[in-house]
Amino acid sequence: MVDSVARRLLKELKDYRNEPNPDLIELSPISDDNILIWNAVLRGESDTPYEGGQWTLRIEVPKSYPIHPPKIKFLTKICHPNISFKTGEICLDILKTAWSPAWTLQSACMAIRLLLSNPEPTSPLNCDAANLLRCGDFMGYESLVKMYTQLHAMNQQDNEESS
Amino acid sequence: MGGGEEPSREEIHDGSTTNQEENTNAQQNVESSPNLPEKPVNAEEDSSKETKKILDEKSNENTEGTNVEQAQPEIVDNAQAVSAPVTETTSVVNPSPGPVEAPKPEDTANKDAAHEDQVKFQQNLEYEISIKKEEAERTPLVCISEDIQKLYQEYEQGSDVYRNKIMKLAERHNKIRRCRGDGNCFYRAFGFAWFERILLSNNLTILRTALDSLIATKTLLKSSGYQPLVYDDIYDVVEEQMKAIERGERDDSMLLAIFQTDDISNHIVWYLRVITAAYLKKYRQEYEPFLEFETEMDQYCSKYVEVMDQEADHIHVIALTKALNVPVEIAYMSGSDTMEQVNFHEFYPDNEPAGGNITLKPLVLLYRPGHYDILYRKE
Repeated sequence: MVDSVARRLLKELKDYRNEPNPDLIELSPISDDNILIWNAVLRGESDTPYEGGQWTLRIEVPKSYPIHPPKIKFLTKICHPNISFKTGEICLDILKTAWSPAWTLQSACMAIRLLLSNPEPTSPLNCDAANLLRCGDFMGYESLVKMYTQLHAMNQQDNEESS
Repeated sequence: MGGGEEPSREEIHDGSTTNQEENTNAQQNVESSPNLPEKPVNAEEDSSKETKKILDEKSNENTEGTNVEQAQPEIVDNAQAVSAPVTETTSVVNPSPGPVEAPKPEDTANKDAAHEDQVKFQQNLEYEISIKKEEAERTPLVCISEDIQKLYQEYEQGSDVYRNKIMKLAERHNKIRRCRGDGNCFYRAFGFAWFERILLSNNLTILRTALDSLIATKTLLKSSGYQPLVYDDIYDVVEEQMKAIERGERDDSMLLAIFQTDDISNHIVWYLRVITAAYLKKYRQEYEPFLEFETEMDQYCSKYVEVMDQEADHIHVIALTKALNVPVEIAYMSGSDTMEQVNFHEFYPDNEPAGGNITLKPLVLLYRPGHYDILYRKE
């Protein structure tokens, strides 16, 4: 079934290249030899504390894709209640139990981008960011996020941090 | 932002009960942005393997889920092992600039304890899910057919109501074929029964009609807004199986083997799911009133229809039978009912039996609370 995974992924790649997505600056396999590992680069949404930042995501596609979801994590450090600061792990249901083959790598990345501006502090992976929100300290939260955006996501060289 | 707590869905459950736990777990609903197809974005738990790995390897601060009441002793040790590194994350907040107010005192004080509880809860949940999954996986995806007496034997120690109903059922039905209770049993039972009915009919007209209905679903999917790239390959798998019957390459045991193979079987199940979703979307005005809390149909489909392991409701059955023009009868057997008869619900598509002179005999499924199996009617 690896062939069918490759076929689907090539279709997705072609689809992305035919219609470039300004919010998703990059989406492609990291090398020609392995189509199961991809990089994506997300652009932070305007009018959010993530504005101006660019984050690299690492996507690992299982051989049972698209029946099973891809594993996606942040390589670039990001401060967000539902993303682990240390490992870049993302807490998002469509990457776990709510996945369906109707999603694509591109739409999954866009769902992650949407998560950035819609945090859910009740199921945190980054408790400190979540606690600021839970206390209603939006100003503190925003400045914390902005600081990490400037620190890690404003400079392209920093994007290639290893995990 | 939508509501935090998910309303637990009380309708028909087939298969395992894990969905209930998932639904009561804290979730989030994020309104769709114009850039995305309308999809709910929820935070949920990991699959057990993933998290266990993460917890073991990285001692990560993985603390999803907020309900802490269901602690089980078995995995407390693990929970304690991961509670320590939680404090490390506090360093993240220290360099924060700007006027960060001090968190409420009880937050800081209870933080470690709360995290520990969250970790415990999460692990318990995963433990439960993995046990249930393991249990379900002992049953093949689709089983060999059995005499209906086997069903009777299941209730020999159980309720009279069930035994009486099975006796009644046995008057007209002689066999049952079980399907795995993994949340997909309606679709899998439907899929197998449909393919089997076509195969055994040995009738080219029936086969061609089925193939035409299948081909027509591609138009339905496209008109309901699905990108061809998400269903093309999966459609091909289903069509190939239908064509293999046409070429005379399938017999009973091969069909069973195919439906017991994870890959092909799940592709067929998912294709039936997406047909169901596409039909519900196309006729949303008709079916949206049946959804709870004015749920929007796109959102409903992406949460409960398109997603594997999510159980099927009444409207799913209606949609699938209509979309494929396949008549289905479902025997509803519940122990609480005082009636001695088994109720049969008929799901006949609109143009049945008027359309065409040769029609497919209805597929017969058995529904017991939480689960679907296939029934065989005496010839």
